Amino acid sequence: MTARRLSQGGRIDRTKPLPFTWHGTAMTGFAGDTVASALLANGVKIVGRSFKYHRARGIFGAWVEEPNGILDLEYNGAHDPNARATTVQLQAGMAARGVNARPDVDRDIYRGIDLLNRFLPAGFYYKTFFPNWHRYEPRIRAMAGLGRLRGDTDARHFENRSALADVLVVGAGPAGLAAARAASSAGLSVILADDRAEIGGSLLWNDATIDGYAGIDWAAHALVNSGVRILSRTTVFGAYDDGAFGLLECRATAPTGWAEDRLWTVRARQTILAPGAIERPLVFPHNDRPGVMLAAAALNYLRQYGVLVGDEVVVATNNDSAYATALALREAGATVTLADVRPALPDVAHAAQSVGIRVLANSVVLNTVGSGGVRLVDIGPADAASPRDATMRVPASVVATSGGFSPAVHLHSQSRGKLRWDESRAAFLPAGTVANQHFVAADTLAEAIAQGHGAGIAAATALGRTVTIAPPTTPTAPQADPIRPYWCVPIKGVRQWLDLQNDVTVKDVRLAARENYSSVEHLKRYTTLGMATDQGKTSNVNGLALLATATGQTIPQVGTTTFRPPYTPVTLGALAGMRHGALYAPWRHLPAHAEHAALNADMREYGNWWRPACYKRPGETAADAIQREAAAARRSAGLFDGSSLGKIIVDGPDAAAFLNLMYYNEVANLKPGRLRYVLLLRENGVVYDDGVVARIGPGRYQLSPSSSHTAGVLAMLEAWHQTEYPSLRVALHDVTSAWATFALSGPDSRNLLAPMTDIELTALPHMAFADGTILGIAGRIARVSFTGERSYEISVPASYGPSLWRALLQTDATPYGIESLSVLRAEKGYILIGTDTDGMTLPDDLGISGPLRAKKVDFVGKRSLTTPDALRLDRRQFVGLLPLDPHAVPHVGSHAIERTATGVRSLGWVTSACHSPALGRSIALGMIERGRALIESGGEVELFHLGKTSRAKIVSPVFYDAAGEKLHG
Amino acid sequence: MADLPPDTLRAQIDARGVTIRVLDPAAQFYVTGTAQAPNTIADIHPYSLWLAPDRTLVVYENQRGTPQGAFVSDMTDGLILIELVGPRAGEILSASTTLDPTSTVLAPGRCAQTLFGGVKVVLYAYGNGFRLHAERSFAAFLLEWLRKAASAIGESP
Repeated sequence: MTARRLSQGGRIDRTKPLPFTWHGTAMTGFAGDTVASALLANGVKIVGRSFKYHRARGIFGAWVEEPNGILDLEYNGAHDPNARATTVQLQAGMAARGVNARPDVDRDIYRGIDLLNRFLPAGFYYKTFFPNWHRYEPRIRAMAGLGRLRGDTDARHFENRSALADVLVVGAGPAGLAAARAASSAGLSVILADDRAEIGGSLLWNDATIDGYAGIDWAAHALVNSGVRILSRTTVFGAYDDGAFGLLECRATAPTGWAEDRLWTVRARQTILAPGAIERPLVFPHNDRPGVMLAAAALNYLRQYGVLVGDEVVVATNNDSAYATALALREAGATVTLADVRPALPDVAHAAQSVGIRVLANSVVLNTVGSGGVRLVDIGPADAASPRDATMRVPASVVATSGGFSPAVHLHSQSRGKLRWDESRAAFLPAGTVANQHFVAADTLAEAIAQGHGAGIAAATALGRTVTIAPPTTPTAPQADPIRPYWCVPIKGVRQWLDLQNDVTVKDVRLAARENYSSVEHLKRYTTLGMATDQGKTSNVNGLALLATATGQTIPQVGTTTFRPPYTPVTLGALAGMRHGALYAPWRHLPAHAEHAALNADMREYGNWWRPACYKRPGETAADAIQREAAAARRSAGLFDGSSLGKIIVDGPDAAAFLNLMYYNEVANLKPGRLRYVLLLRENGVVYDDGVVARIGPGRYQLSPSSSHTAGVLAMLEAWHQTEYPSLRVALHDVTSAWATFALSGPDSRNLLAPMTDIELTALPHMAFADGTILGIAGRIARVSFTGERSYEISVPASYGPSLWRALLQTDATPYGIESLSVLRAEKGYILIGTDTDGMTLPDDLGISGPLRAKKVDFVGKRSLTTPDALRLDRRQFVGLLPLDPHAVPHVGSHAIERTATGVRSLGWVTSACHSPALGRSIALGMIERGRALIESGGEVELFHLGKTSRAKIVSPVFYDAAGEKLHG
Repeated sequence: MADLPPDTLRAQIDARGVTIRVLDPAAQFYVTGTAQAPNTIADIHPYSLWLAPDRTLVVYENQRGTPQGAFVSDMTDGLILIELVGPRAGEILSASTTLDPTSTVLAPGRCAQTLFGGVKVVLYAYGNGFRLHAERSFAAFLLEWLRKAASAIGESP
């Protein structure tokens, strides 16, 4: 018999049936089901094929500990290739499939791999495929993994949230509820997070009486009117620095809006960890057959979902807790046989025997038999040496097993809390405390409530508050008989499974120990024990206990592997939140963005600004448009949006002195109304930025750093002012976004602009500016050029940007984009910072050495310009390159090479290259060793790129209008 | 030749429990040279937000004025002012910043400089909601962000 739904019981809503499919077969679950409980209720035994051996696997757990139930799930247009069946809430219309199987989990054609298991021991890949891993990797990778991505975009929506609280309580079981209740009574703000849909924790399936109510009823009312903020279906997955915790809220059934999953960052002054404990199984031969599951899970399915996991059940345990499962299954009508490892029956056994449960002391499961699931179970003595030592064979479809509980110490451990092995509970518990954290690790309900309430008091006390309410009360339970650790059946030659998700057996651990992987961290990497989505929640303690046995150590000597976030898998989409597509980064838009879009501009991102690369006309490629636009600017006039160019106002009596200390070039002697091209260096002398400084008043300057460097330049100037020169009376305002700036450039620019302004343009020489009106709007016109043509930069308040752009377009000037500008400036040999320069470029490398010789005052980077390295004669220098083939544009990044007797040596590289419409041929710029000497001698270099070579002549970087007649004319 | 018309940013986003509006204050100025306690808001109409030592942002809501100060830069066109009003405005904040809407740094009379959806803003509680100032070039991004964040809590009923 398989599992089945009972006609009553459970916390599901039988009035709300939910249709879903399993491998295409129509099934029905109920509201309140998980996918796992619905599959069990529909009699599904095999839910997956194991990672390595493709063995049939069934539902093993009931919550985050589940190793087997990994499904491919489609719902509402979304696809999750690795959904965890036990934690996903069932929705109407879900389509579920098993993974790692073809054509389905029942008939998997790869199941024969299991026959090769003798040849696939731990470390198989390392032993077999190295050092030629690269040859085998593609094929192995293709076979590895569980779910398959489809390559489409995740249709789900995610959101990030932040919150503060006085107290964060993790876990809404009896301890967490008692803690939240106490802390909130002290007037503290409390966030209570629990990963289940319903609060109550173990009260959802365990019998309990608290304050005279049934446990689950008490849970429902414990926090009414308390002000506690309850985040249900929210997993606290990670503990981070400064009291920050990562929470994943799964809201597949969000009542309004779209955000299915939310990633929370909660910062709390005090944290109470009441995460409960995770059951681990007993390890016995063939313990991976579908039907073998955790005892607490079997109880959970019965009490929460009304699913009886089987009509004939063997319960295998080494502690008292599984008796509750046995009693509940018996009450639900199952025939139950209970095998207890302990030599003497505990007190609780009498209650079991009185309801007809056969209870066997000193007994373990020695074998399970069945195809596609458990059918028969062999039981024998705990010290059996062979499966043949079995004393009885009982028919059963389920083995419900309990090997004890491991408190979920993950968050404590992630917070750098230490652990200790508690012999009496056979579990790792926190050793000592973490600052501002309180851990509840109770063994009984009464302890849980007492410790939870105590943690609430401790948190309140730490925050200077007083808890005024009494703790909840619960009847004293009889003392439990002690657990007897039992790590595996002492039989060799049959497979006993430790980690079901990674197919790790007892034999693998012993082999690893024999091969000297005696550290638990090495064991993990070598065998993969405890990896993957369940992170060994049911296998780690059993594994390290067996390693201890195999290496002759104690469990504390072996220790645990490091606990790291996340506790459970976190969808990458949840980490990204809204940051994708148009919201991927905080993009900046030009004031006339819409106008550019209307002109069919090819908008691209330059340093977070969306800017027109060029304006393509119908039938034009981007390359065509760039050539046309650059040529138009040379021939008549072009119009460029330079609004992103930085504008930093520097004001104060010491502004000139301060800027002179900052910039490489002399600034103090700049006259009002004039501009100067300047370089800004780092302390190491490297050129950080170039730009233009305008003197706009007696003690006031405007800096124009390059668009993507404005924030950096401002930060650098502020840092120097605040740390090195605080006595200088100077202040800086970044006003970049207050202005729209357009450049009208070309021989016709003056004639086109003159009718639009009251500024006398003929009186405005190159590198000068004047304030006035442009089409009636107060603004500024600066004569400054990055094209080499007569150019006017027209600045007006940003809100007038769109209308001024439209007006300037009426002049028939050709709009040109930043890529076209890049061609124009390359023809003039103007550098682009970060393109033609890099983190090694000094000003002299660019041919700008005058200020170092002439400037009398100190400036940032000066010291570094006279070091031996800065004065090396073989430094790379900025040059022009004329390819010998005028039609071939060299690749940017091509190396100039020198062939020597010993090989090939790089002399430098190409930094910019394009076809020049003005010259009608290809040109390039580059940084070449001893470049200036090569210009003098008319040298040639060989260019190398991806195996191909070409030749170029080294020339002056100024290809066009070397005398500057057009610029000044 | 006719004068050019200005392009005023206008937008309103209505969601369940929150209304988001781009306001059009008469003037905004960066001012250096007036003392103000850190992270505070001073005076009302106009009011002044502390930005840095010896630097404030002065906001004239209805009528343009001239602030006192040694060094004044007109940022009326450079900054946008966005207002979030309604009982669920805090949720938008929680989804967009690392600040909790109940945080003391957002108490009345205080202003905070933080990242909002990744954009540097000055943020403060105002009336039944919050206000923030950001550079104009981020307006399109911020409005797109706010539309998405608002849709997460549901359309206006």
